[in-house]
Amino acid sequence: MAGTSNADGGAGIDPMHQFEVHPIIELPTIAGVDTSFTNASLWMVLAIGLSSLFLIIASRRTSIVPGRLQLMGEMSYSFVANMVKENVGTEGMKYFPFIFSLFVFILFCNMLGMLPYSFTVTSHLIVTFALAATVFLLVTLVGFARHGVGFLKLFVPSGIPVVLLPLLVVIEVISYLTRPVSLSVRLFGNMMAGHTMLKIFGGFVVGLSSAGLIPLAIAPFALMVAFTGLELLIAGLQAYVFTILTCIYLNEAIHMDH
Amino acid sequence: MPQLDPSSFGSQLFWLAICFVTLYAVMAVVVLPRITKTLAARADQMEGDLAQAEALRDKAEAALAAYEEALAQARTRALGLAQDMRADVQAETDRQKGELDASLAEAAKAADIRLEDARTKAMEGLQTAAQNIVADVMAAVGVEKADEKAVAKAVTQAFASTSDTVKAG
Repeated sequence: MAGTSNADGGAGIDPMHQFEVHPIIELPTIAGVDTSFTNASLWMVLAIGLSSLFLIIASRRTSIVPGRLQLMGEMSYSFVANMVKENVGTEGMKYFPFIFSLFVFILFCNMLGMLPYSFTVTSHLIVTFALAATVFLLVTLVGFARHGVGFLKLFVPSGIPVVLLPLLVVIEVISYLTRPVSLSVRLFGNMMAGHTMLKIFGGFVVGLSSAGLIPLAIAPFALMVAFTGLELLIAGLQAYVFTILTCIYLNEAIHMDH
Repeated sequence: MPQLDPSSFGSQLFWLAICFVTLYAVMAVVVLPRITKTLAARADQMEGDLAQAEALRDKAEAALAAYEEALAQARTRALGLAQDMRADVQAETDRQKGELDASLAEAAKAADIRLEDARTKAMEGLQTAAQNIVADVMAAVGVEKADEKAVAKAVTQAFASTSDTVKAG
């Protein structure tokens, strides 16, 4: 939601300020890579720390009749496991740890981003693109490892007139290559737009009330509350969408059915 | 737009890689195997319990069937025994009745024979007595010399007709 509140305050609130990355601990550049620990790094570490902590505690008790926490852990496991089984089949269970980690990571990053003054890791295109590119690489590698050169048949639709074939192959290749882009932009766009909108409404509330027009600030405030609920839904939904699309791409690479 | 500032990309990618690999390791090594084991154990337990319940039910049904069979057998045996006993008693009764009938018939026959003998003897006695009486009567009336043979014949004739009427009576 809200980023760090601006010193200039009021109407001068910059809705994009919340996305700024600034180092917390300066670290040396190793092999051309800046390793500085930034606010983005902090929230990534928090996301994996909290999710790991939750799941480790939830899976510590292995009783036959689960407690509340154990049930929550098992339900998140079953949720992703069923998604993989339904969309990819049992062969897909080999990649279940990866898909589960992906889901947990995105979900926790999105949800932690809903906290006031937090930083939304997934509102940065570079992060979502890196995740999407990892998925794209995995899917492509799995496809070639399973079918060899035959994986290229994926780009040749069956039952199409030969005249149209060159055009369709080009379209198929482009649509395949743009997958990491669409996958990453969908998540990044949803996160950034939602947080920007909340910030703008927040700016209205602060601006109007500091100008003494508190009754007028009620409407944007109510909208903000409503949009916060919507954003929570979107945070969960986008984690789900990212994960299920990964499953669908993986299924295509394994089974090659269009 | 801070998202398009490439100066932060290096650090973000670096930490994303560290975080995601760490998360993957924790999930793949610690969390997921544990939950897999728990879920499998639960499925096993449920399957085992169901199988056990099934086995117990089968056993109970088998016991019921055995009980019913034993009951049917016992009933059949009891029926057989009762029939046998009734047949035995009947046979014994028939035998005893037969014996009794036979002995009674024998006794009756013996009695008949004795009766016949007695009657024959009585008749003979009577005939002799009658001849003597006839002879005496003839002597008394003065017939000196009665023809003994004629007397005996007449008496015998008379007796024969009487005896017939007696027998017929």
